[in-house]
Amino acid sequence: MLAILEDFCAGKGTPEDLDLLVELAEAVKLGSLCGLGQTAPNPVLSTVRYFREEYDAHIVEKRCPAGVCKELIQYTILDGVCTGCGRCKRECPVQCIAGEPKATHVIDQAPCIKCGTCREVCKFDAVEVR
Amino acid sequence: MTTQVGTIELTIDGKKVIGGHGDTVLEVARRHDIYIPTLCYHESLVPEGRCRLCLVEVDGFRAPTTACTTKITGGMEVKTDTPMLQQVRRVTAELLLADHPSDCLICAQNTVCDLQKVAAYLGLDRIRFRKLAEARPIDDSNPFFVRDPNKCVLCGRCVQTCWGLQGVGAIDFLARGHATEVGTFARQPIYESTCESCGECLVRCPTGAIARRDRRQAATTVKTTCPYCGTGCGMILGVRGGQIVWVDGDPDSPVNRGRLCVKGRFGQGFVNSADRLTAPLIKRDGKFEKASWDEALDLVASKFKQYQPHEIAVVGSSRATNEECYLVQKLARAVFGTNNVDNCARLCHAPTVSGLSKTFGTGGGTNPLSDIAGTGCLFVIGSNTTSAHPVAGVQVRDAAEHAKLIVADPRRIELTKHADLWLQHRPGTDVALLMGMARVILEEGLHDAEFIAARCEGFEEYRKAAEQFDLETVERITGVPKEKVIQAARMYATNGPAIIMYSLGITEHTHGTDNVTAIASLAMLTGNVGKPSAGVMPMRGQNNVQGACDMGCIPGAYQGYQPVTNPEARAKHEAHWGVRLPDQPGLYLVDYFPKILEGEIKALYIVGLDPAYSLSNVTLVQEALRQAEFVVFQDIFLTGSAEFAHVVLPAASYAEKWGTFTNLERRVQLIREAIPPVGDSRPDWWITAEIAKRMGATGFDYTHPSEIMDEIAELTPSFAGLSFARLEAGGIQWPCPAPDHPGTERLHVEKFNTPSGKGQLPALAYRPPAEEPDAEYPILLITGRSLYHFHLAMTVRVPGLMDLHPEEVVWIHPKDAEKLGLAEGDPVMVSSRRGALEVKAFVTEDMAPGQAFMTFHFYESPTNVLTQQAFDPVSKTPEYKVTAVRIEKVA
Repeated sequence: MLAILEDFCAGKGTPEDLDLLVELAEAVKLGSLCGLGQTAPNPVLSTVRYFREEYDAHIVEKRCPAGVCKELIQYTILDGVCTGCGRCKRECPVQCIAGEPKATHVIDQAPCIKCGTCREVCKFDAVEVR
Repeated sequence: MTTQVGTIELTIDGKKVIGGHGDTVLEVARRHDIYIPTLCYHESLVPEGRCRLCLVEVDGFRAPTTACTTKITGGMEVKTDTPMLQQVRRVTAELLLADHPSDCLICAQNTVCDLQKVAAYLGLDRIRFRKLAEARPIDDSNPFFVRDPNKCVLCGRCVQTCWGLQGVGAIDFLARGHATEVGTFARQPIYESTCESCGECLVRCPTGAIARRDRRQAATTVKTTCPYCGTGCGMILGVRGGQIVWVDGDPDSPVNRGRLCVKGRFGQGFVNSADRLTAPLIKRDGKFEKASWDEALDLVASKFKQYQPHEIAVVGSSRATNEECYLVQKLARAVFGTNNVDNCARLCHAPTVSGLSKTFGTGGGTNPLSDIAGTGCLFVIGSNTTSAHPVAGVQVRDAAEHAKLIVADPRRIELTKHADLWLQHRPGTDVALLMGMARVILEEGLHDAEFIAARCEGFEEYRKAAEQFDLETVERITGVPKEKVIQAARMYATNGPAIIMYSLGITEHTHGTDNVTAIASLAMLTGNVGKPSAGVMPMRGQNNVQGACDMGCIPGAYQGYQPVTNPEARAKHEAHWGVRLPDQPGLYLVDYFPKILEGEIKALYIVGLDPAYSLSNVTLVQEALRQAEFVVFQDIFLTGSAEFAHVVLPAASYAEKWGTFTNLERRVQLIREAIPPVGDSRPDWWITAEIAKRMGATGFDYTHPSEIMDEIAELTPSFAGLSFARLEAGGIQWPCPAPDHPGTERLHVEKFNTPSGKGQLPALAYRPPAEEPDAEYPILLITGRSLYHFHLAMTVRVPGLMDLHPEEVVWIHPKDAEKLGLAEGDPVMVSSRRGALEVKAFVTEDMAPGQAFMTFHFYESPTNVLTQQAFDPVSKTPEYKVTAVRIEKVA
């Protein structure tokens, strides 16, 4: 189950995988001897039941609406909101942000590790995650 | 739990079926040919519901339930095949297959794999899960089987077999969750573990995770009886191209119910060994030359004709069949004209025959092995059962789960781990220990007065004799604290029905007969004879040592213990065999060799015995063999003794002929020809008959061993009901006096077989062993058998067994090792008053200080150069178990 969920988070999931996840979870519930096995799949099944659109977003659109799955998100600095203070550039652990003072900064997507530090430190909410 | 068959009606998949009380859904379904997939269920194991594949739906149940653990009830409606069940099973199977290697075509289990069967049943066409397991290393340390954890489905059959069935516990589940695997303690290779290589796990493994190294499949299978120890396990040989390719236990055998030990399952390689004798050999100018059968047999016949009857001595083989043993004594008595015929029981269980005949009237074990399971107390004395009779040992371990187990042994043998009480008495002090127990039983009034009054004689004398054994004296002699003697006496006397099992630790003493008598008396004293699960069980050492004695390969009696001194018995045999027969008992085996040196015996005919290495004080034996004028050996190998022969006749092995073996329960069981005789070897019965015929004798024209059995039945009251046709259906325990008699499971149920019909309680006194440690030879040496070997010539020719136990070592206690400045593996010289040999030291706390232990399986280190020329006065059995030796470090 974890492996399938990890595939979804990585954008590698397919609609068949979602069916398989449900089938697997039901089988574990029905086939288990111990109480843990009989109940452990419940959280997974609940998420499928109540947050189906989240799954679809991950599987079909390959995006993470909550902005959590690193493989599926991108941080960008909004032109016009950024004041060019340079704070994100200083804090970035992989130095992938460039920009002159007082000019809009830009994130180089290739080296970015999607740690979210830039978004956290920005005082002007100029970093967007999508 | 009693199973009442055919009392509960239920429905499975709409079909009305009937099951018994206590049956599970799976058992009933299988009986009605309804397949329910499973990986962990095995009919010999307790169902655990581990694999989750046998899930079924039962009306009224909240959720699916495992068929293997669900007991049937009346009116139950079971569905084994619903979309929901198939979906759950499919997921379970796919998860297993996702991690399973897909090299099925070259897997040892291909076509017989339960996982394949499950996959086929479910109709799996693809695996939707991806492989998560990482490759695990294969353990190929064992010479007979390979463990591939990558193929393991964690069904737990092997773990349950090793713990629950075999009582060994060498493997278990390690780690948790997806990391779970089956392995040994500290993940060491299985070779280093406590594994006994019985192979019971691989028989039950559903996949190829535990598989034989030799994967060849058989062209045909043959049921037969194991040629190793006296347990007499039923075996199935897988055979092709004149070779045995695998061996399995026979599940239909009442003796072993499908179980085998390492020797039975993996030790049959000697049959196809390149060392087998394939042609007769005649010694010319000190060298053996191949000869034709005609040449060799004519030479043997003409030579034996030249000697007077008293100049010839004959040894029958306790490895050969009953029919062959019968012919050997017939040859000796009717053709050679001598009663000088004996067999190797003289070296092991002759005291059983003399001791039990004296007390009970019949020299055989009283109960079937299956009685072990129902006993309340097992008293094992002088028997390392798990090594010497491994499959019987397993039954003892099983019984110890619910019954009391008392073990009396100078060594900390494996059974002591399962025992409620272990008495570590000094070797050779058994009479004192047993009579001490008798005294406690008498003093505390725990004896069965009713049984004694009704069934026994000599009680007053016995009581007086027991009074000599006050517990202070017993403690001083035996070294066992008196509290333990009291505890043992109470445990044995109050937990009936009780069985005493003993073996060579009791018999191979200068007071062997006394020991056996003391055991028989203790059983009678407590009324533990002639009842289910109560009796005395001598653990006979060789496959047919019971039979060799039964068939008259003993100096004083014809087959069925009919004395040669009895005029009626003699007249009957004279009439049938058509000759005059000698009326005086012949010489004992151990006396042959001194008599050769004295010039009284000149010619020897020895079938299947290795006296130059297996008698005690073999230096004397070898000298005698050198001096004898004419020596004929008949064996499957050129044994160490056969080197002394003038003519060697190549015999066929047990797998190459028909016949019967009699096991330690007196059960006569068939062996069947599985392969043609190797090379130009011939069955022993044919060879013996040919010698007789070439000496001009009549009455030896047999075409098949079944005709010999018919003759035995005709001449022997206790075998009168036996024939090959009857034995085809399974073994029969003698006495079996008529063709419609079912055989005798237990002896002495109504009365004893003594002339008066009463059991004899003899007055016994303690006699010390012939030789005791002194200043010059301070260590007491015990000899015994290893689990991995069987005497000399056979197992040393099975390479895997040699891997497991490659050479002789002398076991000594760390205190003695320290005193002698020895470390493990140091070469030492072990010497006695008769000889010396060099072996390596094995330091272990399993020995008592002051005592040492050696086996006797290797020609390179012939332990019996050390042992004594001292014998039990009644049975003439040598005292192998007590030898005073000196151990010195070799620089």
